[in-house]
Amino acid sequence: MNSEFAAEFLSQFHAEHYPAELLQTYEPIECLGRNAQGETLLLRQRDGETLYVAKCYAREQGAATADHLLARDLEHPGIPKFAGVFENEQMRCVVRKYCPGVSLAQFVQENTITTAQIISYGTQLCDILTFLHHREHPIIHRDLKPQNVIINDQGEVNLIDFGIARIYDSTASNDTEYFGTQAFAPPEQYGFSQTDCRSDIFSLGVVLCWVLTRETDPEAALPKVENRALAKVLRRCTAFDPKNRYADADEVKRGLLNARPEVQSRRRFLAGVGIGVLLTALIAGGVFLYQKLTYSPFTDEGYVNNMAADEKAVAASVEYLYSKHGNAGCFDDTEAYMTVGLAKDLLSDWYGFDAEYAHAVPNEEGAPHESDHNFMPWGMGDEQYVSYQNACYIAVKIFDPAFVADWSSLKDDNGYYPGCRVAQAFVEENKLNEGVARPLEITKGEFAILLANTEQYFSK
Amino acid sequence: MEKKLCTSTLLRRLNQTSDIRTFLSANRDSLTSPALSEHLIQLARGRGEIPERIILRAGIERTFGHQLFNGTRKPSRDKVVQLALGFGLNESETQRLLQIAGKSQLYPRIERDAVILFALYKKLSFMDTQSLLEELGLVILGGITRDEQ
Repeated sequence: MNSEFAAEFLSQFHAEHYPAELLQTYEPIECLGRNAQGETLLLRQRDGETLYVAKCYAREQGAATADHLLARDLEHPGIPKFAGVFENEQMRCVVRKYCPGVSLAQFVQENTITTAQIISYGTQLCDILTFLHHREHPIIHRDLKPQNVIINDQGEVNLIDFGIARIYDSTASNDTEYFGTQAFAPPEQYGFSQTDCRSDIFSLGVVLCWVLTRETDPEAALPKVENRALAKVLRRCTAFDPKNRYADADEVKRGLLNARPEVQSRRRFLAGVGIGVLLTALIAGGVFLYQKLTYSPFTDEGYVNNMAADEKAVAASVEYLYSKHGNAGCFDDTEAYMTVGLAKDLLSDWYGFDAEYAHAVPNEEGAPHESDHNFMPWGMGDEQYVSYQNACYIAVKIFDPAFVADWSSLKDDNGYYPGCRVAQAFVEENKLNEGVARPLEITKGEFAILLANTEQYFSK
Repeated sequence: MEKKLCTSTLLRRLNQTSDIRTFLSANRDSLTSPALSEHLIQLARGRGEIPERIILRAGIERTFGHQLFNGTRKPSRDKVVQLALGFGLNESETQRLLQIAGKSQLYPRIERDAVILFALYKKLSFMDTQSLLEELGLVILGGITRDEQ
């Protein structure tokens, strides 16, 4: 092949098109993209193998050629390093190092991507945006889209193409030139107001929506996002009004980090533990309260069958009582339930209380109460059964009336008589109930135990 | 279209599968690059040629070349150009092949691409194209491997 012939053939293609200095330093390898604003070229260093990318703008493109000014001093691992700017009469070429990897757009097409990966890419983009937005003169990228996000083999993210980036001018009212890729650009980028840092946050939100759902319309995408914490972050990123968006990419990053699956599951676990503890406490407390509040000698609820008193204790107690007060035969049937009537009889027959006082019911209606008129503070009929707690009250009051009467003013809101509980506590503290099995209505045998033990306690 | 799967997912599925035929049919989209390989096969048929001969003329390593024809590997842009030279494609056929392979098209303002277009136009062999590129001080085909997979 005659290379001279080839060289002549070639001369018609590239003469004067690219800056001579650029061609001396780099060999153009490939045209990666072309549009009205210019060309993007892949370059290879002539005295090495390092690859570079040149954004070449036609000189008449005014605002768009600010790229080299923006990028010259941007030093961040997520932004391709600036290598130089080359110009001739037609063109201005801004050269940066080539970022190996594939675009997020391609990566998503070719791989199954996890939520953790998406959040990792999102947070890396937040770091880059924070770097850009927090400069003395904040830089707004304005064209954040999957094609401009490069993922390398290590999962590291690079943001490329500062073609339409601009330095934020707080005095300008709106952007005069409309750039950006429609689907990923915020409403204000079409001239509603000036773009600021929140415009990039909007685009970031849309990019992440697209990666998660392949939808670029947040309204369509967000209902499909299963991770609710993530959906919440993205909803705020993509709010129509910039005022409702995150003001800072660093805030977005915090939101994304909190939406990580492991954080969510840890939160769910802790919340679960919290709820579990709370529920357990509530249930335990509830049961305790239920037992306390619903315990009533006046109902049949909680009537416990199949409970047997200690037979030996019953026999010994009955024997003791008979020996002290004479065998009246009243405790012969120890398995029968103890009645109020029998208790009243014992008060007068065995312990010398006035029969009228022993049998009287309170004059006042309503909750049980103490008075000089009646021994029993509650208006129970003779045929009703005596509860464990009431039995304690009766037994203690026989030997120390003042001990329970002192509590008569302390009826609780439910009308329950505190004297009974005081008596019960006294009985249990002194183990006068040993052998009693039933917590509610008790048998005659059990009543005998309580009575005999209390009598012996007070006779010491 | 079913989404392509990453290698680790494919390997896991392969480990879980008992019948290789079921696996292959269920994961065909992820295993192959059907558009390009089908296009290559059609081109070969249309010319009444077997892949072996085209691969040889394209200067592509034999095993890799067959993998491109059966769709188990994806070529770099330079390898697509080599295939075009192996087939003896004209400019528009080459641009179409690059498009199907998802590569950027030959751009005559770029000297190296212009040489390649020239080689296609002149029906130069792969080896002649390489020597021309070298003579002109340009990166030879296969010298850029940035998008090789």
